[in-house]
Amino acid sequence: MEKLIDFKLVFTEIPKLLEYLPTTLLITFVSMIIGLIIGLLLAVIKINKIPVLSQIAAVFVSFIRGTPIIVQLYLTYYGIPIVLKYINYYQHTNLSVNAIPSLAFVLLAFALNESAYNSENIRAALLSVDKGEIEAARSLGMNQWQVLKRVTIPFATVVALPTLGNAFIGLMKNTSLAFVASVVDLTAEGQIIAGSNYRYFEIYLSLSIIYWILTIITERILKVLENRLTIFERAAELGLDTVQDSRLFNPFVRNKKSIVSGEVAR
Amino acid sequence: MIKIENLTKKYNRQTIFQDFNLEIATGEVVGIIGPSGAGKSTLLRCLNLLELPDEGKITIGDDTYVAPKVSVKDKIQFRQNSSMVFQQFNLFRQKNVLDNVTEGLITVKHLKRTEAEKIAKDEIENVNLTEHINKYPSQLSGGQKQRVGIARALAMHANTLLLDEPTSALDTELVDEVLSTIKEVIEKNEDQTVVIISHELSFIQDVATRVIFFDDGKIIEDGTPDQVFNNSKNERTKQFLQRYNRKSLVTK
Repeated sequence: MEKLIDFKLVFTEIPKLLEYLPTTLLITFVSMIIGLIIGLLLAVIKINKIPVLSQIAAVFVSFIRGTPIIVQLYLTYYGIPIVLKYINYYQHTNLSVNAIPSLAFVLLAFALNESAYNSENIRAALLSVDKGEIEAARSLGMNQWQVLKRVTIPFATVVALPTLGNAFIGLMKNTSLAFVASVVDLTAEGQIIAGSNYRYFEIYLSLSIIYWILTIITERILKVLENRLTIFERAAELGLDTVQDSRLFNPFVRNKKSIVSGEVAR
Repeated sequence: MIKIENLTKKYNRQTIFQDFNLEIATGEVVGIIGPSGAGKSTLLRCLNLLELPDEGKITIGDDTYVAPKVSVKDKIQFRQNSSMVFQQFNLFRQKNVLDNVTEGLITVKHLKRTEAEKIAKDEIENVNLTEHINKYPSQLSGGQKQRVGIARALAMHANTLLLDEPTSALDTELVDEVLSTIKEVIEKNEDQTVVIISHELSFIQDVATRVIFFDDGKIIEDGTPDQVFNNSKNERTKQFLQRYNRKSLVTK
């Protein structure tokens, strides 16, 4: 009988799949960054209750949250050519859909999706910043931008990090839908390989391993970031007098108190 | 020098003070006392433009602010004339003691880090916190936090120091360390104009060169500590002082 499951194949196909890891990471990072920027804009619009814009933002967020990401991908995929045709007709331009790489459609869709979800998190985080600190910064003579950069965003980042981290992990996995816009990422490549050797189960096992490990690595990195960013509130508990030893930020080093008493303490 | 002319501040329809006038000479240490809700804090916050008055004029040093409209640039320029110590300390919790003090110097005054740290270290020394220089606010007691707040304000070298109930948020046993720090600081910088709001009446009597009793948005009594505390002419002042003396007897 033919092998029911070819376990060797699960691992031997991984290098071939990993050739498409950069595409997956590119979509994830670029959409996340654009999503954070637009999300911050939406949050600021909502907090300041800017007329018209805040209503548009509310409808946008509601729409994105109320429709599946795969539908949104198809909407961008089929919608942009229509928009281009419309522009060509009325502006007498000659823009071609083919000139736009399909990756751009995917990035747009994911970025907009992320921005809607992130905007609520960012809004809550911005509102959690201590008014007193903002006032102190203003009284020192900082302008609004400096207050945002020096006080508001640093603290909001700490508050939003766990939820934004989860959003990032979610996005990384959602990029597996990129194939609907004919972008070849990890999952799409897996489908292509499986289509030729009919070892679907093995390939999807390989993919699961890759996504799982990616997620574990991301979680670790987020933990390091979180440890580093929250040192200001854990300093007393860690018995820190000075913060110098970088091992304190390393989640793989256990028993940080011994480092503190040994080398950092006065 | 501070000159307040015809200042009016309203919240919604409630008038906090109206046509308020006050002149404070350079180097004066003015203690403002009065019941809670009299508008003392609002007045102090107007001097720093944390609250924008509705009408009137404020001059501090070389800069004059005419209510209510002000450009961002002028507002920031005007704020450089005074620095503020807050009731709730308002330290930057993500920054250690040193960075709390250098923050304004680097961001607002655009000093180099080394220069800013030199100034900051001096000021931190002045409030006796040198050994805590690398600690975060979460590691400090309330009294220590407020001393950082004072160092942060002093480091800006503004000509006027504004203290808004600097010890009201502190436990009783921590009040004295902060008050003695303030006293030292005042004695060290003789040219600095100081306006302090406080309910610590004996402290005000001790450090102030001038005391103002403020109630209902008006100056009820204005004079030397001796005049206001020992020979007050106004009934309201007398009543207030009596009530507070009784209170401080109970707490001490």
